[in-house]
Amino acid sequence: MDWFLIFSRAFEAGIGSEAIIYCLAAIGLNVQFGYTGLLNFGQAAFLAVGAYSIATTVATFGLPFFLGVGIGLVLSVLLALLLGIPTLRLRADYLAIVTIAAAEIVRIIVRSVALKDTFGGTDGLQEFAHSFYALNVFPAGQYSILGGFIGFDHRGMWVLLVGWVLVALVSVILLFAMKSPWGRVLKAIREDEDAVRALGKNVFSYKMQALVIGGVIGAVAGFIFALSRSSAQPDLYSTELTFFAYTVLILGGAARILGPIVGAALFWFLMIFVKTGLEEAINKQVITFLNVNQVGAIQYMIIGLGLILLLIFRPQGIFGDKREIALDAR
Amino acid sequence: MAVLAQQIVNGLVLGALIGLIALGYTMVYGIIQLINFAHGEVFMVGAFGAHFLARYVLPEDVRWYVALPAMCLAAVAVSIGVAVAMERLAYRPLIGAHRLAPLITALGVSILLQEVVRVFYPGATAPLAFPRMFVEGHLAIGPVTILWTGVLALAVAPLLAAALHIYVERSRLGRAMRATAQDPDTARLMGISPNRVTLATFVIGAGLAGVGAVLYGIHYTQIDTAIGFQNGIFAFTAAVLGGIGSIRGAMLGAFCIGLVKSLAGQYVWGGVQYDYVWVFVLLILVLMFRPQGFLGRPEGMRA
Repeated sequence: MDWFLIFSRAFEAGIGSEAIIYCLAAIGLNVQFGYTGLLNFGQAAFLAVGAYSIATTVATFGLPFFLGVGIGLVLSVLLALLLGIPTLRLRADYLAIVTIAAAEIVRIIVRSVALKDTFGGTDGLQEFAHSFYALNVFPAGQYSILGGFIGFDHRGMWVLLVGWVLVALVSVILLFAMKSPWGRVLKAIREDEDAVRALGKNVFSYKMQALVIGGVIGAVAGFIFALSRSSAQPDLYSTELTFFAYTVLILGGAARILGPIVGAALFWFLMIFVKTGLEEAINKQVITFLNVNQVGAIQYMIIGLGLILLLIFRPQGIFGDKREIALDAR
Repeated sequence: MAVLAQQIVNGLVLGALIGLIALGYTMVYGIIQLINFAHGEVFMVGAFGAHFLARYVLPEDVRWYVALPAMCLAAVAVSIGVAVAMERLAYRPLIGAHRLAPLITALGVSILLQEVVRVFYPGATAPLAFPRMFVEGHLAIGPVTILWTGVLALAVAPLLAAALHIYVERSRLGRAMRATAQDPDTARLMGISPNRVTLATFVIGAGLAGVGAVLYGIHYTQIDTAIGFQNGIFAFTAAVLGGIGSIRGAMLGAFCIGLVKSLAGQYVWGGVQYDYVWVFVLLILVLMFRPQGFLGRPEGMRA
């Protein structure tokens, strides 16, 4: 068992692009679920919209990169409106089912054979990240952190810099937004919609704003997802992604600014720790009843189980306040 | 015309199968206002339970009239076992927690079950052939042909739905269910145990899903770990379409979904690849213009 390898891989994942992507996705869900009580089960669709907007604009149509970013932001707003208009006047469960179905449909559309020329079918799209990496401030080479314990190449460093700056920016904006009267209305809606309506607030409009903002943050996560891998593949944007993002959010603590950040780092540390650990154990013949191909599924099983246990025993997560999220007994 | 009639029949068969899942959604929702997202997986494990019995337990040359009931029993037993475990371990501890918490555990249960089957069921990483030990051949009405398995589904599903309807309307437990759905607190004062009623609802829904799983398997002759998720979404849409909480509505909604999927796959641009999309468009339209569904009552749907 090479413990050095296991720990360094796990630490790299904990601060790496995966953590950034899931952190942003979870911040989006935090606005929707944590603060407003909207159950968006289709966050994967917003990431897919972001990723494919850049990929399609640059790789398929040969248009500038920043136009792709703009298109992604606009389309994510439109998607949120499309999902919100029929459902936000109804009970929270309806949004859940419509978003989960919409996420599947977005995935089916981008992977379909009929639109292969535009979206690249199941292979997805590549060759669209040049403009992004052309802006790289790090000269080419390997960078090691903590005395060589973990390391990234110059492209990885650029993704980390841009990604964590975006996370910080979004978090600071939300910190102030949630302390403002506007943020208090969102939290009040989560607790008791009728009371807020009775106070003369337009609940539908506030919910829609939360849905749109969360979706746009999801699209930003999609930008990082596509750019960090220089590729957009349809099957990465399945319901598992949304589910992982919820796990991240609940692990860190919903309705807390630091929740998604700590949740994402810890989640990916544990994910890769388990994965590399199991693979090492299998390769070194410590565990003989599994094979390497089953490791992925075992990971999912552990996470599924972990999330259920978390919700039962510590629904407020690491940072959460039980008064904020758990005591809405009905 | 022949194509149209054939597609209508195919759609009705699919609708009958989806309807058996939709009944489970609509009943659980009616009683405890929970969308049991993992109900599709109950259907999926039922199909694998029946497959296990047919493939590994029953002898090769068993006759279909022995095998079919045996497989139904196996599927129902596995489905009920999983549903009861799910209710006990994942939902009951969350009573009194945030109203949306069970929805997230449901998603967790769903992924957990899919991966458990994928890892531990032999060969489940790829689609599995469902045993074809039954009546081969088909019924021909003019130009339209229906596999006998399809005829069976069209006969059994409405029959079970009708039986369920009568049971809920007439029996003691059914009355307890309706009372709990209407007002859990008052029902408790009348001596009804909501936990028992909830468990019974999960068991009945799982039993129907188990029967549906066998009918699905012998009709489409192939199962994989994703059938629960996909058909679960269709079934939920069907339940909403018909008016969630209504048994007749769930069946009606399921037939509509089957027809839309089958006809859109044939006639609308994009074909079978996008039939899913049209079902979703139908869902959005219903939610916009008639959120209570075809047979639902308007109150209680608004947030």
